[in-house]
Amino acid sequence: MLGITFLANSVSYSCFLIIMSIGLVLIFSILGIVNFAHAIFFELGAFIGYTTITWLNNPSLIFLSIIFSAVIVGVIGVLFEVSLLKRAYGMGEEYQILLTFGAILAGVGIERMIWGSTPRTMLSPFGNINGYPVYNLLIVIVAAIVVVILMYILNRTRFGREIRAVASNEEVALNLGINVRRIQTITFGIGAALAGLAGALMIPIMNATPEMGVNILILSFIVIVVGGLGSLRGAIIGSFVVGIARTFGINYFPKISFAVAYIVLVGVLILRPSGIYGEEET
Amino acid sequence: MNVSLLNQRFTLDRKKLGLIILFGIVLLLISFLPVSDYQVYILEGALIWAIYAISYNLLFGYTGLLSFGHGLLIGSGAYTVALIMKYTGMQSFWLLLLISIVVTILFSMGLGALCVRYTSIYFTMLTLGFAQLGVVIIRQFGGITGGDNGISVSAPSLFGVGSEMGSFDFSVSYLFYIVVFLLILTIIIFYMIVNSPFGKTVQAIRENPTRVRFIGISVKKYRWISFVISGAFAGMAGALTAFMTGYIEPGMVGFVASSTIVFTVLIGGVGTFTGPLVGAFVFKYLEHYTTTQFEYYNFFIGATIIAVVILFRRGIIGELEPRLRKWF
Repeated sequence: MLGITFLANSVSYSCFLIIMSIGLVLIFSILGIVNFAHAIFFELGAFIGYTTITWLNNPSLIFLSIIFSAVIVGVIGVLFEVSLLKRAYGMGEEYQILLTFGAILAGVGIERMIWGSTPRTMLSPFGNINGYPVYNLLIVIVAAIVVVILMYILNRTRFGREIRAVASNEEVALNLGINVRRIQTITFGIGAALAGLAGALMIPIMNATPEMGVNILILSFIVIVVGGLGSLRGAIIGSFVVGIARTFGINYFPKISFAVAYIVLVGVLILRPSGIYGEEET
Repeated sequence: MNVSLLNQRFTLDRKKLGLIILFGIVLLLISFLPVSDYQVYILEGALIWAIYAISYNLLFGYTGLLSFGHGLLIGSGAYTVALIMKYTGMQSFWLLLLISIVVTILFSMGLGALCVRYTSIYFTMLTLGFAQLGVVIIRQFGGITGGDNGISVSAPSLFGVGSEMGSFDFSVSYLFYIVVFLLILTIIIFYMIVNSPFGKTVQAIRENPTRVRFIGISVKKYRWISFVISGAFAGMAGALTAFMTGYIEPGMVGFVASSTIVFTVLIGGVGTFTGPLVGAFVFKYLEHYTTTQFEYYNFFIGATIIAVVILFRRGIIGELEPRLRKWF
């Protein structure tokens, strides 16, 4: 049925992908690392959000738990960057990937120790009003707020200018007296916080398990590859392409819905290898 | 020993060949020592894993392509054996092994053509994605593939014997000798490949693809060939795993399975010839003693990968070799 439910599901899922993928893109453009650990930040966000809301014992306070998860996961991200990731900056790309990849496995192990393997879930705190899934609308609003705040920071503040300077040329930025290390750490923290926020935001939609992150991570990869690696605008467009394709697949080809995103990916890579907004590779 | 094939000269000097064969004889002798069948079984698992690790090292260590989808290739070999046995009732060990290698070669030709078009990050993400896609497909078509329950594989017939045995008995009797033979064959072939003009070219590609392209060599083609060779041996390891364990399941295809092979090669020494061999023994015996605490297993693998990357990137062999050279 191509009705309001399809629209609500695809748009809200796209918005969720936006929150995930802009974090990845930010980290990639500042640190040059494709952060596989994003999967674990997403899962941690979901688990911390779940625990907070259980502790608060009031589902309508979900926004409090979302903000709380984002902050905690952001701090975890900063600690990860300062203690481990920074040691990999001088190494080859593949070792940086391996380090963040190791973090996924270690993180899954830690989550199993703390939360066990039973899926955690909760119903939407707002239910359906007149048959409309209200929570989906809230996801869209949250994503819009996140994008607006991020764009404001990047384009209108001094800190944002510094971030853009480091992204375009780290050495020159360093020569201009910008504290590149600080920018790297804070950007990684922001990226992690966004993943944590996305995790906490999605518990009413999907079950929190220690395995949920990897598939979401792959979808986010597809988004940023489709959009063009390193482009925020591309990540937003890519999110809509992948989000709509996914919902379309679930509705019309339920057996192979997971493959639909790949078909989009392979199609884009063949037609335009650098993604929709990517710069042509030389 | 000199072999000329496809405009490539493959060489292996007598001393090295002797050392490799000696290693094989030592392995064979172990089964005559008073060790329990179970010990032989564990050792056999490590030897098959070594074939898999050597094939992965060609791709990651020598060609510089970090793949998180190698589980797809070992899985392709294993599932080919299991599915053909299940649906045609074919029992012949060598025929099944040959078919699974051919199928995996064809599969890696297709997958490789799609993946090697892209440079390191894209390649890694694509392979991880396809590995997860593979698991989803196996689960979705559970009617054919057995889904999460997997498929059991009975003991095959080998020169007219074996099929009446249990899977475990077959593994610790006939299969062990075949595995030792195939591992030695794999080591010899890979030694020759790595030291051939082809092997030197892929290593040059790993160091600097742009320069290699400037000489007029098709980087994509060499990466692709490396991917397919790696796939062929991973497929063989998959078929052997299916025969050995008598059981396959989607866990050997996906993300965790692919991460364990990265772990193996990394801990042994990326791009060293003996590293994957050492890594395979370390990993299989560690796995054997740690799987009882499943909760900590992932944490252990992940934390070790992080520690190895930060502290000793070159792995056991890569770190030890220069020091041993000083002594001898």
